Amino acid sequence: MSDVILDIRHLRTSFFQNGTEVRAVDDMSYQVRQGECVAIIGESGSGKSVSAMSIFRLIPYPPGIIRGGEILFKGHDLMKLSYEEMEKIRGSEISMIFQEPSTALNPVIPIGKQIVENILLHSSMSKQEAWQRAELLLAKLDIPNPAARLKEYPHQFSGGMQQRAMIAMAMSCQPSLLIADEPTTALDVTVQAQVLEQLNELRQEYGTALIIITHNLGIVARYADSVKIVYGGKIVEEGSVRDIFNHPHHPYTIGLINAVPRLDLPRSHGLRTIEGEPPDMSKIAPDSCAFKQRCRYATEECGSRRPPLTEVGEGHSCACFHMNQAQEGAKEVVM
Amino acid sequence: MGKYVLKRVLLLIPTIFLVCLIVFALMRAVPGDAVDSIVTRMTQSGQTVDADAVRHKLGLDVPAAQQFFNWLADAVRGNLGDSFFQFDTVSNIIARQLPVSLELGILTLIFANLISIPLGLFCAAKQDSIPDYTVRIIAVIFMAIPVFWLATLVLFYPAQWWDYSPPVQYVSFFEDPLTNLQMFLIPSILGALAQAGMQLRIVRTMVLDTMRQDYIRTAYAKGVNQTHVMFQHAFRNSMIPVITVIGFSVGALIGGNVVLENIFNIPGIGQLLVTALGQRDYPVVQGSVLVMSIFVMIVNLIVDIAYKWIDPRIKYD
Repeated sequence: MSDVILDIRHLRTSFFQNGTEVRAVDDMSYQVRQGECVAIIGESGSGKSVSAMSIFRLIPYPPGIIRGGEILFKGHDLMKLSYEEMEKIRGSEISMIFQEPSTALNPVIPIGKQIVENILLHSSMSKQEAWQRAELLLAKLDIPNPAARLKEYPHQFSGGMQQRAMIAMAMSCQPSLLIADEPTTALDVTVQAQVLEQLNELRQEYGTALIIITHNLGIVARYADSVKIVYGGKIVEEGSVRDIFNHPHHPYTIGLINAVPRLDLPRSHGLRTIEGEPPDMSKIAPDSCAFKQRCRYATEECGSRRPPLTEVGEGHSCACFHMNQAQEGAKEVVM
Repeated sequence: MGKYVLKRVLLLIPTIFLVCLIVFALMRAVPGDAVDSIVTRMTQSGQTVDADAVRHKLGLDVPAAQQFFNWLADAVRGNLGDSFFQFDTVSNIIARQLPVSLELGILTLIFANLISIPLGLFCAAKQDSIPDYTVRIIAVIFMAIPVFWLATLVLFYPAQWWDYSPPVQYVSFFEDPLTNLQMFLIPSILGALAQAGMQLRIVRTMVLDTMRQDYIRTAYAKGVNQTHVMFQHAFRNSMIPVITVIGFSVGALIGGNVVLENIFNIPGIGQLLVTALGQRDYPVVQGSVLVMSIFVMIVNLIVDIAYKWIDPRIKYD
């Protein structure tokens, strides 16, 4: 277990809206190993982004606050670090890529300066060396004419280029952990695959672990080693990619996988969606299953007790009282 | 960029022509003219004058349209005519009084920015704390208090308590900088307070708005500390609307702060304009409005160029 670089234990992050507590992340625990790619999957508002921002301790306060838990990064609890110590880790040991590159880059500062700023903050490089390093990074990410491009402003870059600049910035100090919050959602479909492929190559070269937050199952299948399915601020199922895709246990996971449009099935198969809509997080009772309203297997028990995460195979756990029934049902659907 | 500036400068010509035409027409529309006041005044002092002769002498006996084009033709050649009441050319009078207003205006602007930008940043950094509220309340108070009332107090109490009053005889900065600054210090600070109150609120709002942007989150995610985030990432972005407000106020300040100039007996262009308006001194009014409008338009042009310098996304072509 020595290669675990990030160990999140019982993380709880809440937001307060008009005096009511919204548990955006409710008792979440997971581990990330060195160089591993972990995918966190969930729909909008499920708390997947908040869990990532919590690692960074960048939850806007007020209204948000990390209420409890430990975030052990290389053995040190990030929650106990001072603000200055946290600043040293951000951008050097852990970095982040955001969903919307066009707003995540400062519009009035040249791209190069924004990348160099990160390098200069966390290394003893001279200005000249830092610029050379930024140029090298852009070249690695297949941006033509990098030296000239560095002097340009974000609005002169296309969306894909902007995201590559973000990747260059995030990877500039060879971090041990990179958090990518829906890195390709805002991009054109045509460049999504390319940008992800470049990101993956770079992170493998640097041995950087990746937490990728997404709702694109295609990305997960291709790049992730392990998968966490998040619903209502809790992990409802976790396991290796193979386990999750081939033997989903939780009704929600089954629903997600069935909702992927498939070209190999007859048209009459139609698009299987998950009925209902994402829950209002402020209305979920803490001691019930968050998926209860939308689950066709729900019983009284689901409303009175929160299903615990129980192991169903090696490294594969699921939090549901009716997972056996759900699996039976899943077989019918695919047939 | 050069093309843009050229286009804007060429656009000044029709704009200035229109300004001149409107001022000319308005002045003629006001009841009573210079001839009346000269005749009245001379009759009162026992002289007999012929109104027609005076009218002819002032060049007011030709049709208004002709008067306008006569004046315009001279103005284009740099001759703004002679004042009806002061024995001097309009150009000389403006050359004497405009720098006085400019000094007051520039000092006011400097003080307004020195007060509002640091305090606005401070309020944004300490959002919703007691210091923030205190500063903002004081700002609103200064925006609300009429400047003439404050000016009267500032003149009255130091005189009563310490027998101090600022100099009332204008001296140029180059003759006696110390006396000159003594004279301008109080009115320019007073003028700056109201301006600063408004600007402070805009700076605060804009900085807070900028601090909520995604790229600020990116800066924090890079490990940039709060002070640097504020000055290197937020400040420039939030200055764009502030520049607009500063531009507006420069226009107003060149127009001369009539109230303050009157209270502190500063012979600026504001005072000149008010006097000339009362006397129906047409050439002085037309000349000073012309010069002031050129000034305001140039400042607007500079503001537009400053946008480009602050925000690289703005393109002029």
